[in-house]
Amino acid sequence: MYKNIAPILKTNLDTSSDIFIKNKDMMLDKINYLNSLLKEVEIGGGQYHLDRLAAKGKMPVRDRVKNLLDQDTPFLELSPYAAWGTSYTVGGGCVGGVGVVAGKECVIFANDPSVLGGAMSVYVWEKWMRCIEVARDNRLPFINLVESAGADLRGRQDTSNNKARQLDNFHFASSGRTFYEMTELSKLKIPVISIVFGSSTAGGAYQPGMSDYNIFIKNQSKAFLAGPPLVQMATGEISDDETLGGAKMHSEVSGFSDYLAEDEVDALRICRNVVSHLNIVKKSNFALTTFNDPLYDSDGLLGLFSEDLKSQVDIREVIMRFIDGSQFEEFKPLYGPSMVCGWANVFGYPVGILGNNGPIYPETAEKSTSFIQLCNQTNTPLVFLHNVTGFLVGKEYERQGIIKKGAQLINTVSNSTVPHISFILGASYGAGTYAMSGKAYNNRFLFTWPTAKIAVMGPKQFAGVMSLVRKAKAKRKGEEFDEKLDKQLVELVENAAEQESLALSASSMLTDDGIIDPRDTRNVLGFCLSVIDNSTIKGAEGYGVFRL
Amino acid sequence: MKIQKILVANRGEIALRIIKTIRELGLDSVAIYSDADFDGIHVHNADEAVFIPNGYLDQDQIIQKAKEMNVDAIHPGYGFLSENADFCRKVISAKIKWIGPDPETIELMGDKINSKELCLKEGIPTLLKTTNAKDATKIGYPILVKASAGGGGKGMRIVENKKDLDEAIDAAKREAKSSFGDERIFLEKYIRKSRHIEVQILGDNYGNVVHLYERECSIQRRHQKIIEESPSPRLTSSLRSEITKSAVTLASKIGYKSAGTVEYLFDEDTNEFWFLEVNTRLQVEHPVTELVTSVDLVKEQIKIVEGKKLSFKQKDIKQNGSAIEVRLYAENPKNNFLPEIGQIAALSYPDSKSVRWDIGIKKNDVITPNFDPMLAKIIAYGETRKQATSLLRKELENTHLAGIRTNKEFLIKCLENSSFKRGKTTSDFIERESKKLFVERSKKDVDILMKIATLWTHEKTKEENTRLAFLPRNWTNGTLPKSYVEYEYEEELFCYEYTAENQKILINRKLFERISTSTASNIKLTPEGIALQLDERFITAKVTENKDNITLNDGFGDIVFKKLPKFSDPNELIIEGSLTAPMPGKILKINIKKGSQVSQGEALIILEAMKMEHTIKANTEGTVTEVFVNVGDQVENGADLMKVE
Repeated sequence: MYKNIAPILKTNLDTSSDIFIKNKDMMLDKINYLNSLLKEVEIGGGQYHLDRLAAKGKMPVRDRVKNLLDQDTPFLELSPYAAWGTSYTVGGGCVGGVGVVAGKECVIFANDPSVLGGAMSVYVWEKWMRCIEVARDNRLPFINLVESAGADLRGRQDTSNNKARQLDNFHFASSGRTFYEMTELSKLKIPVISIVFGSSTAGGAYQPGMSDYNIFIKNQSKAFLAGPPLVQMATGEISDDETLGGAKMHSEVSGFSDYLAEDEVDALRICRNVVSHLNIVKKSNFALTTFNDPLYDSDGLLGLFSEDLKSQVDIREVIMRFIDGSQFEEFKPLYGPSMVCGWANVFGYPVGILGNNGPIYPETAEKSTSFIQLCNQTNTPLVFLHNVTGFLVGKEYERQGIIKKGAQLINTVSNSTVPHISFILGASYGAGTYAMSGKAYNNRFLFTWPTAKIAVMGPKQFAGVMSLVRKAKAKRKGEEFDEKLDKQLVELVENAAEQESLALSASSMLTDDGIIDPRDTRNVLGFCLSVIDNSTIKGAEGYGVFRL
Repeated sequence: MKIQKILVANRGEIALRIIKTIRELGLDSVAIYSDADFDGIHVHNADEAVFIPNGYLDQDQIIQKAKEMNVDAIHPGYGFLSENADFCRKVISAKIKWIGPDPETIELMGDKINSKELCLKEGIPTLLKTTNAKDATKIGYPILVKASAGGGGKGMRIVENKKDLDEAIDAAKREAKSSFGDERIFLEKYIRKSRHIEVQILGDNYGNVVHLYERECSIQRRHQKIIEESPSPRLTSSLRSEITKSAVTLASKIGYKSAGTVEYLFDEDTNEFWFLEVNTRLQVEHPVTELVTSVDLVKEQIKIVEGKKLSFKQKDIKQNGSAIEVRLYAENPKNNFLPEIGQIAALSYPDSKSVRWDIGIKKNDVITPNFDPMLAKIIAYGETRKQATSLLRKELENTHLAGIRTNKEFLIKCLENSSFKRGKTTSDFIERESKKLFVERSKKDVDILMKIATLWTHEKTKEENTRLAFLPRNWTNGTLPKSYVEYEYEEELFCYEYTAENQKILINRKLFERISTSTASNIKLTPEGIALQLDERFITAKVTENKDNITLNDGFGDIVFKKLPKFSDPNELIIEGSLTAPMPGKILKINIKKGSQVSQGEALIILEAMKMEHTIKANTEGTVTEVFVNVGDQVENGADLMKVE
């Protein structure tokens, strides 16, 4: 263990100011709303369905996850707000996340049978894919808690809702990728384990079908390519569930099941035994340091951002509230000051942090590019803190080559091979999203704060631009421009754009890994750093560091 | 003749206690040990120790080793060979001193029939007794059937009426035969409301005999003493002088040398007392006498063998204050005090100034069915009986002992009992007060203790589950059910769930008519347990987890909860309708076969344990579908014996 000798950041935050208090109240309202959503998430398909399953001796899905984990260990849940604002149940009918099983970090993906019988809606599919990705990128065992009625054959359910429509644009021809990816995990020697809790029929049967280890539960698990009715229709053969695909048959006759569990709890026990024999050695990639808590209370994070994101935020006030001992070694503090770059430790793990302190200037892009290259040279993970309205526009900046310099930065971000972990705190607009390693830039993890807004530009600017476009169109066609109608349209567009940009919209569509309480930033980051430390971390190769 | 090296032909607490005096006298001690005692406490504490492959009853080996090691004298302790005249003779003929009375005295007093005849001659009252079952009606019921060569309750039966007499005599004979190799038995009157009072005597080689007052040992279970004290709370000074005079008369008559005990039965209602027997050895309960008289009996025994005269006269011996001894047994008071086996997982006690521990075990020792299940004697001395009682109770309450079931909490209840406090300690004490002696801790206490157990578990998992340990326990950005721990106590199920909030832990009881939530803070593990603030009260507790049990001591005794494992052991299949062994032991007799029809209460199997027979009866009517054991099998406590459907 090494000692962290970086200097301590000093705060200028006045937590008793009116604006801080106002912002904080707004933030707490948002957090309360998210917590109320978590209460909805907890009951999945509703009490009626939970009771119905309980009568069959079945645990609620979150109890299955909880009991699988080592006692009192933490759990990083992925996309708990999936499908928010759609006709689907918030949470998306499944649970995904990273937890500790038999001392090892594992990805857990669990169907929630209380939601549409665990049927695979588009949200289940998206979350499942994301879980597989986390397992693959970080080399964590992948545990499936299977109980699924198969594909959601009802097809597109919610034509009135934009978000759902976007995700529902899904043809059967695209399906099956999850099975492909599960076999890929196995090829990469990442263990795949399935516990079959109920029926896994047709497509569902391939979930255990593509697993390295299968655990079936006596008188409960069933797996068949076609259930008794379909078999009767196809061949005229009359059969029943147990003889066709019961747990006992698969354990004793077909050999599809490796372990026959007495009940659900016993199945979890067996799964823990399987994980314990996987011979996983976790060797840290890092020169870890001893660590202290940040010097400043994380409550200070609540009042920094205003609802309209117009308050000026010194990103150092955020950084000093989640890093070890509030100790930060800043890189090039005098050059390109609108991006704060520097090194710190979080729970002893070294990180390079890039945080926006204004729009991106040409020299800001240069500095950031250098910093990313330096971190790749030393295999140091990068943390991006988004609060950016974009690259600076205007004649002067075009002449300085803002496109070129922005492209340099986006190029480096794209080809950086150390893990990226992004937090969208406030604005993440336009190409700024790309430069800060947004959703499309292969992050290991991306979390948002309740105040986050992600869009091509600010909603007001967007509505204004659209108005200008309409005005130009009217002029071109020689039509009279209806100012009154335009004003109404501007308002409508701005509102719609605002709604679309909000964190919950992003979370609903699984473009992030979840919205977090700002005070949890340190814990979430620490968890992510421990997770990434299961894979080999190696910075990009090819050229040395360019002096930019 | 000067003695320099003494071999202690015993084990456990008594061996250690004798070794301590040997050391105090500046002499050398030699311990002996069998296979099972390689790591025994007496072995560690003696100057030298020698292995006796066949165990503590191998007379020739013991003498052989004693000769090889130039031992001057052998102290036999109690039990084993302590009252074996043959062994005593062999020792003497090997030119080794015997620390105890002459073999002739042992022989004479060892035979209960002969010793009583002697008393009759001396005019010392003895109870009417007979060896002939036909004379039973003359004695009158209830009748006590006793082994002639017996002791320690072995081969002893109380018979309430005539129809049970024959069976009791047969059983007593079998036990007597297997315990002492002598199946002779006798019958005597059983006095219901009685006290057991005994007198400690010391005699030298010059005809000097003194008494060191009485001990009262009336509180017994399964005919074995568990609480002994001196002075007796019942004796008036005139009764005291009468009874001690009787003892000195008898001892003088037989020329008693060394320490011995004359036992009497005292009738609570008539103040009569009858001679029972003379124990020609150091008694288990001798420490109470030592504490009130300040005489070290082992030291005196050694001096007597060295040929010294008693250094004090009767008038020099005073009975000061009060001493009470309790015997700590590995046993289950709720299962008819049957012995328990197991491993000592934790042992700590205050060892207070006024309390003496004669202890034969240490942490990690395994208690087997091979030896007597007595673990320790705890003796408190007070200026008054009240003070001694209170000191002893507090000592026991603060003693943390885990891994094996004991009678400790039962003893605490005895000491707390108002009838005990008033000195109403007649032989029927346990039976009479049993309702009060088996009460458990209050529901409120159990609730608090389970919360402490839960918090301790929560802290402990930090040490065990180190992955991501830098994060708060149970932290999540999403939502998961609360962590919980489940317990079983007194056949009731308890579930405690908990959540962390602002450095505090909220803990509440689930699945219950009444939810009780507590807030805990400042939780710290201590070397022996936990310290914390629970709902504005500072609490420390000793905690030991051992297999599925968690034992807590909060300064008011130990309590054991079964902590239900989240996952059950796949090997632990309980066979429904099966009869299990109530204690470890050997299968002596199987009365039925597979397929037999049995009626409720029918005797099915006879189990021998601790040299006593236990009958396993059918708890239901039915057919025997499986018999899992054979005659001669050694079975564990809880082992399946047979299945009745």
